[in-house]
Amino acid sequence: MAKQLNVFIENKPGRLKAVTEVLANNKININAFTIQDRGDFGLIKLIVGDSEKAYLALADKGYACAIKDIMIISPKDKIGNLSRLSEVLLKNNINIIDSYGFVIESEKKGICYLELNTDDLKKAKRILDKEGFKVLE
Amino acid sequence: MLIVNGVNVFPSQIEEVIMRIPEVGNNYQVHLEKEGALDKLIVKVEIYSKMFKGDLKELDALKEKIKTELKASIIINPVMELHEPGSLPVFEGKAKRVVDFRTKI
Repeated sequence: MAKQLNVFIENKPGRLKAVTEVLANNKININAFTIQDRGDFGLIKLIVGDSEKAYLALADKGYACAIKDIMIISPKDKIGNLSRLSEVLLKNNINIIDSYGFVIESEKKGICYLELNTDDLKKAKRILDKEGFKVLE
Repeated sequence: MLIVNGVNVFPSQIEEVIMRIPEVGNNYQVHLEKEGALDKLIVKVEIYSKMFKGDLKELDALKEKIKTELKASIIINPVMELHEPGSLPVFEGKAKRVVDFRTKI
């Protein structure tokens, strides 16, 4: 399973800079990130080269952070593919807690990050493999 | 003692509620502001990093929990704010936790 690092931040200028600066100083590369906002606070969700090292570096600076298991798949970039992916998960009663995706090579491949309930992760991996979706981690 | 919208509030009541919630740290701050004719009580607490699980849902629930427990203790509905660990001022000795921004008449 891939690891995602969730960092609690206040919603004010300079917080993304502060978090990413800690990672830069520890020579940790960011592969993907997204920010979820909840008014006065939010979460930065990061996929990094070494999530354990990143967690320790941030925790050492006093940040509230946690590592989550997530799934990364690489579906083909074609019309209707996300619909098919969500249909497969729906048929198996798997709820998507959070997800983000983008295209890497137009009309060839994309990347989709899926945050699922811990109990669903293994099941989803098996099902998506069977349905022809390329599960990376 | 503070008087908020005509209700007597002891800062120790607020402290007592915050201190028994394990998901928040030891630092907190109470701000009093005017919103129209009414007083607004803002309670700022720090997240305790060791109890953080990484979910927004969990943070929403925490905010609601502190709000409910404070309401039960002081009768006033506070505005809750969650802050990063170590971001609120640390007070040594006699703590000055309450900041009153209401204009005095």
